[in-house]
Amino acid sequence: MFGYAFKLALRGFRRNTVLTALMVLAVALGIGVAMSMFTVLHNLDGNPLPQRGDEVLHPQIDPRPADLPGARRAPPDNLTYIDALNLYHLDQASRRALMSANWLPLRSTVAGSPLRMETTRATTHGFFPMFDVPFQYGAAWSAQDDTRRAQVVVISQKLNDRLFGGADSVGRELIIATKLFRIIGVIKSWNPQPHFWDLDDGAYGAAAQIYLPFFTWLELPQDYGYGPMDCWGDNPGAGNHNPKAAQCTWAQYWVQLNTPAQVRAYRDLLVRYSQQQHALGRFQRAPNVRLDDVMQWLNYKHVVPVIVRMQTWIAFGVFVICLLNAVGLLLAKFLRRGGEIGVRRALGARKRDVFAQCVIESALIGLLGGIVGLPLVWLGLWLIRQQPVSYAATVQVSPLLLVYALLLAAVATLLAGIWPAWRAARIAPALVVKSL
Amino acid sequence: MSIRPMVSALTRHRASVVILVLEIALTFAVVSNAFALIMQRVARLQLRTGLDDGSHLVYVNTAGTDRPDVGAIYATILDALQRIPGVLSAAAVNTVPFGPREGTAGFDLDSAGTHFGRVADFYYGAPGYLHVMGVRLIAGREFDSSAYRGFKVMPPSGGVIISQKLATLLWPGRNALGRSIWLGKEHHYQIIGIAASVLRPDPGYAGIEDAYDSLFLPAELGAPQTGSYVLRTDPARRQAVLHAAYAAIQRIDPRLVVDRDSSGSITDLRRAFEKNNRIMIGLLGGVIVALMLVTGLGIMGLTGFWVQQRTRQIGVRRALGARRVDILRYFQTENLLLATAGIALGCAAAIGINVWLMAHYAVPRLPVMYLPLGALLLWGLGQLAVLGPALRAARVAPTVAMRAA
Repeated sequence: MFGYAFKLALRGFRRNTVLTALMVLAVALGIGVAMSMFTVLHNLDGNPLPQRGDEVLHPQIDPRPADLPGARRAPPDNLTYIDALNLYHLDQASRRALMSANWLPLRSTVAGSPLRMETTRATTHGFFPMFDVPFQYGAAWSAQDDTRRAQVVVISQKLNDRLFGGADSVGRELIIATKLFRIIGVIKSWNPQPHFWDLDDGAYGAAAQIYLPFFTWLELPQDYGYGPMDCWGDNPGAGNHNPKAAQCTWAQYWVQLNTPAQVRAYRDLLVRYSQQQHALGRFQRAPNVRLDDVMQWLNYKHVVPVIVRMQTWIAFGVFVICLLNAVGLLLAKFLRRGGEIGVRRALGARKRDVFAQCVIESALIGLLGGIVGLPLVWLGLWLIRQQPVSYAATVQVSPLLLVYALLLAAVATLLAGIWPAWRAARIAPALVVKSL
Repeated sequence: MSIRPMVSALTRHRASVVILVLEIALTFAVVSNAFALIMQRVARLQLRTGLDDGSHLVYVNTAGTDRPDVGAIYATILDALQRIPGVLSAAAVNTVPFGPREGTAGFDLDSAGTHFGRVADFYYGAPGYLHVMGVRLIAGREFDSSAYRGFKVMPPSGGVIISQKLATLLWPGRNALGRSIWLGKEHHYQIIGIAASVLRPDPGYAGIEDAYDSLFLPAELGAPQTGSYVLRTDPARRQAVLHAAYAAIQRIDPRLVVDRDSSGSITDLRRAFEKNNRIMIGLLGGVIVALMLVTGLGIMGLTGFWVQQRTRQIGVRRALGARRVDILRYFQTENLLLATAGIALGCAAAIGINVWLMAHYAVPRLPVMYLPLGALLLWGLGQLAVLGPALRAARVAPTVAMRAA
């Protein structure tokens, strides 16, 4: 039965090559445009920490003065040094990481080696296990390293390739901001997108090249900046990059809480902390806290570029138009063959046979369209990657995507074919045969 | 030609008519919105720096160092840069149009901070930077030489020069000279000069209407963020000057790292900025073309089907005296009718989509002029697509009618 329908479908294609080619082309264009845009959105919109995104949370509290004209109601994204320290030490979370970012000058210990500026993440030991950072060599530093301000560093695979030709560099030393640091670990290529843990400098882009213990980093001999600072009020220290100024937020903080009960308890803790600071006179506002998991946080921060969302809507429109187009053309294709269908019905074919044959023919067109559309998907993504914007570089083509594109093309066209097929199956044989 | 029989013929195949009209409507809505997006990007390509001979400028940006007193050598570097053959003049500055964002800040129009001004970009540099950059003063005066001294990062108070467009936005129809702006309570400045509008460093960062929100402040050579330089050059020697500048800085202190990604002639920096927009225009243009193709194919396919279905009627009309051109006109008018219905429906959809986008993504209002433009495009497309099937219909011989009867 299926084989017969298939053979009839092929005959149908040959009978009306032009119309069939038009349909294949239309499906291909639709799939090409829609899939390349959906891929971009999927790449940018995905969960960067799928294994435990709902257990990793971002606490926010509100240390701002009651009277701050033009301020948003939501608490600041980052913490002040004092709050960061307090929350870090008072914490009940199973894992936690305090962090910020800047650029630091780095050179190898070989005399006369060139200086380079490297993107730096300063953080505490919890960062690596909490975000599942994979290690090529060595391991992360320990809690003791954090407290005793050890001069140890974790470097990226890329930096390790450049400085040590990819060899195991654990135990070797680097001069960072004029201080001697011992390499303790090398990270395998790791760069989840968006890099949710710190959105101050955009949500997409390359990962940091070096990772330093937070408290060691804070005491480097010179001011290299402490990440974007948000300051308010009459703060004489703000202009001078004083990280310990009470009116400046700049530190990111993440905690891991494994059960909903722990999350509730932690939220209560944030409220209690705010009340306590209020009682002490530090906070002026009523407790204003947030505790978002990774996806909530990304949604709250609207990380996906507006232009990408809009393009995706446009792509969706294109896809719907292509479907409508397929419905119209399939209708034309099937009803044109009214005579043939009438004869088949008169010779004993059931409605269901005609229907099945038409649907199979639709799916076949969809599949062909998908195959022709694949190079178009590839072309679209290639074009998108040519953009020098940071999110474009992160867009990747996976083989799975190509399978999806084919499937989408076939299924969508099949669905588009159902109604025309039903119309074709309803053709009354007597009327058609009479008019032949 | 009477419309009535045409409409009644269309009601004979309502389903395919509805599909076609819907398809045209959606295409119209998507195309006009995509076109509006393209025009936004085109506007970004047409931005002018606002500087006199901006294409003669080269920007050299030092990214960092592990030297403790780096400010001390900025003067030595500036001196060396000025000596490079091909350099006409040079000055220390935080950034240039199409350079990195180095001084983005919001300011208020009163000391209490109750009247918010705007978020703008502050250019600041050591003496002479306004001349080297080619900032043209329209009204007011420049900074006194004493204004460049006696503070660490930003002067606590004193004069500021403002771009004309920003001044007009803040105080429409009134003179901006003498008015004040506050950055927190610590810094407040009085407007002493109005400059021909200069582009912000990263004009893509804010909307196109904010592209000229820039102000100018003095800075002391050696202050933080003055480790970058603007050079006015002989345009033919821009590349040679850039490489000589890299070499000079390395010679003075190898501990200084030059950020080559953000350095270069303004023309080169501009090209990198434009590339992004060009690709976006290409992408959206591709989408529009693909969509028009798809819809055109759809119209062609369905009209072809109708022609086939109505072969006998066409034959009868021809036999009764209709000329070929009448048949041709019939299908062309029918298509015009359908396209108009689709466009009317699409107008509503386009505005609806735009209102929704505005509510959710802070997209500017769809300019009304794109709607008739989109309409023309789709009418044209419809006529083009229908031509083939309509010509085929016109060739139907009158004898067909008799044979079939």
